[in-house]
Amino acid sequence: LLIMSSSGGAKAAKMKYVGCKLSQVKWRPQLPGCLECSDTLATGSKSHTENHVTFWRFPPPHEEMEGDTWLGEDGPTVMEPSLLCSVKTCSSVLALSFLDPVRIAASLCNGTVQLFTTHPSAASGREVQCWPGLHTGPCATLSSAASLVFTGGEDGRINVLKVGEEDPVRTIEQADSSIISALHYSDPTQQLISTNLLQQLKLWDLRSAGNTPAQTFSMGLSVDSPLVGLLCVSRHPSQPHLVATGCADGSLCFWDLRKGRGPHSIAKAHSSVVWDVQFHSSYPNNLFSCSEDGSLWHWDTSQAMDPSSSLSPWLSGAFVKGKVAATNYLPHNRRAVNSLDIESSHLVCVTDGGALVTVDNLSLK
Amino acid sequence: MESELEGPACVTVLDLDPRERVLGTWAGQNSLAVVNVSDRKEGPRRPSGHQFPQSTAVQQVQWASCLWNDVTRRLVNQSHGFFMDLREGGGGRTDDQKKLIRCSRFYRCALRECVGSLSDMASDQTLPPAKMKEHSEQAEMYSMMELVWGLCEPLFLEVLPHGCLVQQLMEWVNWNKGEATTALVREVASCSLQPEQHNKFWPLVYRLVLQGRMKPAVDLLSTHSFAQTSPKVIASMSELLKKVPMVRSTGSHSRMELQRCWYDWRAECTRRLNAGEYVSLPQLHLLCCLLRGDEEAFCDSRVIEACETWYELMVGRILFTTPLVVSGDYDLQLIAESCVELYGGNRGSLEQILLAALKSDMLGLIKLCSSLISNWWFIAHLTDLLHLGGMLVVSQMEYGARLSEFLLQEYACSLLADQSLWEVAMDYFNHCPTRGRNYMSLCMERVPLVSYQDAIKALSLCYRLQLKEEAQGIYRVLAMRACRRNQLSVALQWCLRAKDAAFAGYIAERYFESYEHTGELKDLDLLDGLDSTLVLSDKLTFLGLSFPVPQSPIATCKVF
Repeated sequence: LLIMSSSGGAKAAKMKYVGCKLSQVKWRPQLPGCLECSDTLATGSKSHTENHVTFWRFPPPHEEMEGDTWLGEDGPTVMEPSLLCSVKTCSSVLALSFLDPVRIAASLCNGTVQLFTTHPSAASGREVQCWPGLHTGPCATLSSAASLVFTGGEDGRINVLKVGEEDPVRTIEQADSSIISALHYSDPTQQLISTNLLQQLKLWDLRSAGNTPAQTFSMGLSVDSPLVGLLCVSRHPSQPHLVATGCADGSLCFWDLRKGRGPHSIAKAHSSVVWDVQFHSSYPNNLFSCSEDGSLWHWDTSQAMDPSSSLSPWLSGAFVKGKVAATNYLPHNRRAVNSLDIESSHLVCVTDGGALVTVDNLSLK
Repeated sequence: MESELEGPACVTVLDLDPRERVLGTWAGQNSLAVVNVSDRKEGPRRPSGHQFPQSTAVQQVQWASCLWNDVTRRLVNQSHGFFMDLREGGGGRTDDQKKLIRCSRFYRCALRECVGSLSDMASDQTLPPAKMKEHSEQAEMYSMMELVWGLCEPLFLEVLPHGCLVQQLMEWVNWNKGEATTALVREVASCSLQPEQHNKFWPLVYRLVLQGRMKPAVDLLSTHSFAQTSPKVIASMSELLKKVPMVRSTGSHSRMELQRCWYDWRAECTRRLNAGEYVSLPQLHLLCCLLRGDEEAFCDSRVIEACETWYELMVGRILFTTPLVVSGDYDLQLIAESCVELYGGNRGSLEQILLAALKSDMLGLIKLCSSLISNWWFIAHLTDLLHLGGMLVVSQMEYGARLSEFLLQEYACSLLADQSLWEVAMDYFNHCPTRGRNYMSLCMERVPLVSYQDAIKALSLCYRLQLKEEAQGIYRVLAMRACRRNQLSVALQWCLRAKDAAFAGYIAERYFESYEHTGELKDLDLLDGLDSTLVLSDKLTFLGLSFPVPQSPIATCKVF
């Protein structure tokens, strides 16, 4: 059963229900030499019995499309993700990251990281490596690049893993006196950004051998807010000093890493915890965020672009000038949206109700 | 699945010695924890008189663990969305009939998909036979629910104009049996011999007419050899069939008009019958008697064999004998009972439930469904719709509300058997006005909090549903965990929100201990902004006064 919901003139989101709670979704990076955008995505489940990383194909590989249906072999069918393969994990999936088009790493609730490899068509997959006991407590987040995997756990430890080696190549013990909630690694600069539950953003320079962050930014804590923490992070693709994070009180923070010790600006975006935030990799004037309140917002600052200023619209107060075009693709949804990913004009997200939601043909500038 | 009372179910638990004493306690929604306790004294007794257990192995006995699998969880999540849209969707009153009907149709769609998926899994050879059998039993149960719901919707939820109930009943039969009948039509039509030689030809004609599908019946008759040899006979019957007074539910006709139409048409049938037009084909003679509404024709064995189930015959009989029947009419009950008798008089669960529905005995229906269907999903949602539509008003005003609430509660409790459905259960409890809050707070205490994401979700749910005490309990759990990991600043944050003075004092002591060992106090800047809360504990106040706190960086930030 496909359920469609729309908000006025916006694109309709299509929800496909699978049988268990989904915690993560990621588009697979495209195979080298391929010009089309990716059509395969991976989801991680969160359940107390069996857990899987499942691969799906969307949009379906047929050329003729009329609106929301495509003409397949058996006649017109509505577009929905089709299951390719499923690999079992030993615990709930908390984070997923593709190292390359055929390898994906998953960080799990029992402190383990598992690495899986799939056939290029994703028709089958298997585990290639497992790092058990990396963290005492759940391994909350991970980031990856080439053959390195960076993990952060609830024990405040950061591990750097290399594919093929059993032990971590580097461990930063006591990296944080709090739970590490999100990591982001930038390959060229070898910088790692980490966020934690005490609302701090730390910048690590992995070229240096020390165990302290190069810079620490803090948002401060207010005892009035019942929930605290920076839960997700996304770096602007072309302006690496600009970072957006989502907070537990529902706000989006923008940080300028070149200056200051605190966030540059805070926008009240959601009414509940923001679980995932992401800049579009090719159209960075578009930011996507999803939340526990069930909404999936698309923030578009392309109208706020000021050609005379070199400042990004995100840092020049686009929110306050009312020049952000905001669209909620899930106006009627009540279940928490845990994760999102955007690839060219296809947006996917997953919810606690076990729905895999796709919004396609977004207009991006 | 039927669960007639045959006596208590017995389960043999391995590794449990029945000669020794057995102690048990509840371990969750659908399981018991049992352990052997020895009567022999082992060492000194404790002052309270308790004995030490002999064996330390605790066995867990679980039942109904197959209740929620991937397919049924999908049904639960989808129907939860529909339920919440109806209750909290806004835009009009919840008792608006159109909204109720729309919601009912959504539920039926979700149910249909569930039945389809379960049937697929029941025939999936890659699964072990036990699983296939389990899925097949579940598919049967859910398809029974679908059948009953399809009947209850036109009978109770819709207010139909005259003559429309029978149309809806025909649609109900077609929804369930239409596909099978169409397949038969194709089979008979593609028969290489003359179609009427096929032994299913005439039964199929009767069946199509009783299902109200006149056009396929006419088409099938036109393939009969008589269409060439003596066309007048076939043409006469076809004309009669095409002129059956069918009511379109969009139109509205007065009862008098409709009665007039039927009277005229029946008179025409009688005239043709008496004129001997169908003497050459005895099957057409029988068909005309059916159309005229002759009771004997409906008891004819050829007609009984044509229909697969008694309710197909029943709907056809209603169409031709009492087409203007409305919900609650005594005729419905009479015809139904008589049809059940014609098919052997077997009063299984399905028959009992359908008969209760046709009698418009809503309370009886609810009682039967609750005892005969081993799943609360169906009856909880149906009763909720009936209650919102005001159908459950009895002499005692509040009875309907209490019944509906009880069923929703039972359904929500059954959801707790699956650990991933607890949030859905909480939403249902939230809509039980009298006892929901008790259940919510008990449920909240038992929610598993494995990772910080679970904890944050639980906390945001607590705030949404205004469960402040339970939220404080969760903060304490988080603070304790942070203490164990030596993450003191985190522990302090959670502890302040839990407003626990003693705990705050303990954490302050830990801070001093770490200062003693390391000579410095880390992360003190995180204590900024806590001036008013520092009075929570003396030790915390001392901590705040002893060490200067740097200025917060938040002061220079812009907030939108």
